[in-house]
Formats: sequence, C-alpha cells, structure tokens
Amino acid sequence: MINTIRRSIQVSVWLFILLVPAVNYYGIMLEQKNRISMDESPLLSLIHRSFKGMDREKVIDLTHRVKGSVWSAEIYGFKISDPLAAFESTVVPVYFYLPLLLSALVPVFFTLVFGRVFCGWICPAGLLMDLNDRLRKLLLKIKYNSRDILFKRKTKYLVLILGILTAFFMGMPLLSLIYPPAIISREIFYKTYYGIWSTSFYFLAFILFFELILSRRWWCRYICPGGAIYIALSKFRRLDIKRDDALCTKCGECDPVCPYDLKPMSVQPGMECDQCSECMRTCKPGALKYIFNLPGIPVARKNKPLDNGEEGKAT
Amino acid sequence: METDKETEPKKGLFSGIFSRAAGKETGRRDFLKLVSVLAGTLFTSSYLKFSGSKGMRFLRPPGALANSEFLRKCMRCGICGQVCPNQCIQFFSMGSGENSETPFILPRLQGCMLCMKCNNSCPSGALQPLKDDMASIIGGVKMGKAVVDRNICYSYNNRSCGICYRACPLQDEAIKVSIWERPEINKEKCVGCGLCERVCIHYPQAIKVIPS
Repeated sequence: MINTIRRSIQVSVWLFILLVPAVNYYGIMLEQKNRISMDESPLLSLIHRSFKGMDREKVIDLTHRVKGSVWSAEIYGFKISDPLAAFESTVVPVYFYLPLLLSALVPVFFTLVFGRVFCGWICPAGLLMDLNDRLRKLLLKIKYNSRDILFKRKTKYLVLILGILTAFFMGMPLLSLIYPPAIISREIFYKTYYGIWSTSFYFLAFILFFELILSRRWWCRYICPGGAIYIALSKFRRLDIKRDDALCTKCGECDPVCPYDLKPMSVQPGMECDQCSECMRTCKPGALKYIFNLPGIPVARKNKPLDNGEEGKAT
Repeated sequence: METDKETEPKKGLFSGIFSRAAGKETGRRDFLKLVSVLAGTLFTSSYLKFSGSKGMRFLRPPGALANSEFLRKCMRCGICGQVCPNQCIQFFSMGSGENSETPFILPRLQGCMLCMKCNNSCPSGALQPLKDDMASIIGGVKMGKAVVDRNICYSYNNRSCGICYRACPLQDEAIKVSIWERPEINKEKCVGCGLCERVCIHYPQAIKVIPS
C-alpha cells in the first residue's frame, strides 16, 4: 500500500518533468502562432487538442503558470529549489539571494521532519535506480552475477565538500553538473526544446551502467552530494522505521532488500534511511513499522541487540 | 561507523582512498592521502581553463550579472530558456568548460525582444529581476553595445536601408538615423538586445553587438 503510493508519486514526478517543458513549449508555439511545428509534433497536437475551446490568451497564461523541474520549479508563483542548488549557489559566489534561500525551505522542512524522503519518494534518478535493481535480478536469472564493489559511505561528504571547494576555486558550480536529478531535468528540457541530448546524458548513462554491472546503488550510497545534504539534515527527523522485537522472526529477508544496505533487521536503519518502505513490504510478520516521534517525547531510536550477539546501532 | 564485518569492503579499486583496506585502521597514511587528494584537486582546479567556447561572441540574457559572477551564481536549471517566447536563449553543452550548461544568445540567429520573462523567473539571481518598463530596461539591461561597420553598411554607401532603425525596440533613443537613414548608436541607451544584428540585410552583418 505504502509502496504503491511511493511508486505513483515517483511516476507523477517523472510525468511532471516530462510534461512541464512540453506544455511550456506549446505555450511558446501558441504565442508565436507557429502552427507548423504544432501540427508536426504528435505531443504538441495532443496538448493542443486538450486545450481546445479555450481562449488563446488564457491558454498562454495557463501554460506559464507551472515551469521548471525538480532541480528548481515555480508553481503558481511559488518557487521550490533543491537544497543543494541553494547551498551551492549561495556558497560559491558568496552572495545571499533571499528568494533562493526561501525557495529551499520547503524541502528542508520536509527533510527535517520525515528524513531523507526526497531520495526515495521524489528523486527521478531514484526510480531509474530502482529499475536497475530489477535489472540486476534479471541478470541473475540468466546467470550473470553483477559485482558489488563497496566504497566508504562517508565518501559523499568528501564529494560534497571537495566539490564545493573546487567550485569555489574554479568559479563555477560543479555539483549541479554531476547531480543526477539536475541532469535529468536539463536533458528532458533540451530534448523538448532543441531536439538533442546534451553531453551530460552520457554521464548519467555511465552512472546507471556502473551501478548495473559493478556496484549496487553506488551513486546513492557513496557519492551523491545532494544525498549528503539530505542525510545531514535528517539527523533531526521524527519519522523512523522501527522493528518490533516480539513479532520479528529473524528470517533476514529484509536485509538484502534494502537499497542502501542498512540491514533493518539486525541494526536500526538510521540517518541514511530514505523511508522507501521496501523492508516493510518484504517483512511477512509485519514487525517493521513507521514510528512518528512527536516533538517533546524522547526519541526511542535504539534497537535492542539481537540474541546472536550482534549489537544494535543508532545514528 | 563502518565497523561491521559484513560491510567490510573488498580490496581492489580505490581501496586506498575511498574504502578502508581489510585489517587496517584509519591512520596517518589515510589522512595524508586525503590531504593530498584535496590539495591536488584545489591546485588543478584553480589553474584549469577550458577552451570549449573560446573566441565565441555571444550575449547573456538580460539582467545578467558580470560574467565571472554570473558563472558562479547560475545554477544551471534552464528555466530562462524554458520561458523565452522568442526562443533566442540557447545553452552550452557539458564540454564547454566554465560556460557549461549556461544560457547564451547568438544575436545573428535570434535577438532578445526584452520581454523580461527570463530574468523575472530566474530562481538563483544570476539574472536580476527587472520591471517591464522603458526606464528600468534602459537602466538595468547591459547585454552589450551595437557597433556599426561604416565600410559595408548600405546606408553609409549611398544606398538607403534603415532596417536596423526599424527593428530597434528603443527607437530614437538607442539608435537614431540621419540622412539616407544612416544609423547612429547612442552608447548610453543601447542595451544590446541584438535585434538590429538579426535583421541586418548585409552579409556579413554591418551592425554587430559587442558583449559587455
């Protein structure tokens, strides 16, 4: 049930990224009275048919209400930006632009309350990487055993700090060029408007291919600088996945499912958990549950150690 | 954090820098490696100059900050190109060095019609928001200055043309015409939108916008 909601949110985010540039492009074509390219493209003529019967000026106004992508969007005058974008575009030029900082407040607030939900529920690259997990299973069926190289988890903080420092010394934001959600939003916009993929498309393809063959979820687990910011913010989260010791049968089925390798059975998921609820779906006795700790009540995060000597871990 | 035996990484690729080799503790050697990586990156990055868009004459969208500030502030979201109704804003590709993924305008292809949509929707402030009236456009937009090449301009060579005068959105302020519709540019008022260069009927164009 929760997983269905998560999947539908991810798919609707993808639809948002795909449709918003197309609708904006349609508005521009309408403003230019460019009937030729509207009739040529099947998508634009579909949008044209769905707006049929409405006043032209009104349609042009409507198509400009929503613009942008997950990297930075404007919905009816309300601006939302990725915290990484706000952080980088404030630190690298050392220039405090208040609308930008305000636009990052909503994701920051959500991360402070619910933890790293962006990665599991909204990130468009996250859906691709979930598909990659399925592909790995398919590869296993045809007896191809993908490797799983492990890096240090703290690498992402190194990437974040090193990236910001490099960006500062080079005089250009580098992290926005390697952050997959930003790449995906830009690529789809370029494809819609100019009909081409940019070069960063190959970088995205490299990330996905490396993940498929060599290291499971390497980008999200070890590298992603945006994820590093979300994890640092989710230190104060109120939502947790907690194991009920009375119900748990210690079957160990939830451990390999976790995309971040957090071992929800033996240890507490902790800050890195993106609340994706995959472990809850796998758990047959229903021992894993969301716990919402209200403010004011002390947070009981630590799991009891298991009988076989493994220690509980809290972060 | 990574003290569990299951999460202990295999030896091999990047095992020195990014993952702890089996049985070793993080010590002075790891720290020195980290410091050397850090210093190397900073040293290289501060001296790195790309050549992707060198020697290219392009304009930034209206309201842009000075170029070095703009490159630092722009967060490469592409919203300015999404809202441009004239489709004049294009984007550098990833391989263009410091200009990667930033917006630019080639005035000979398509000039800016000063609708002030791109800079008012810029989320990062790299394009400063401006009001859509004549006074703030003349005061705030500094894309470049137009320059007339009098050797090839038709009007300066005994053939009356005046098309740049007709195309200019700031007629009689930024551009004035004298006898035989010879264009004369007022350097204080010209904002560098590039519409005159777009419409110039001489090939190559006799009027060019030099970016500021």
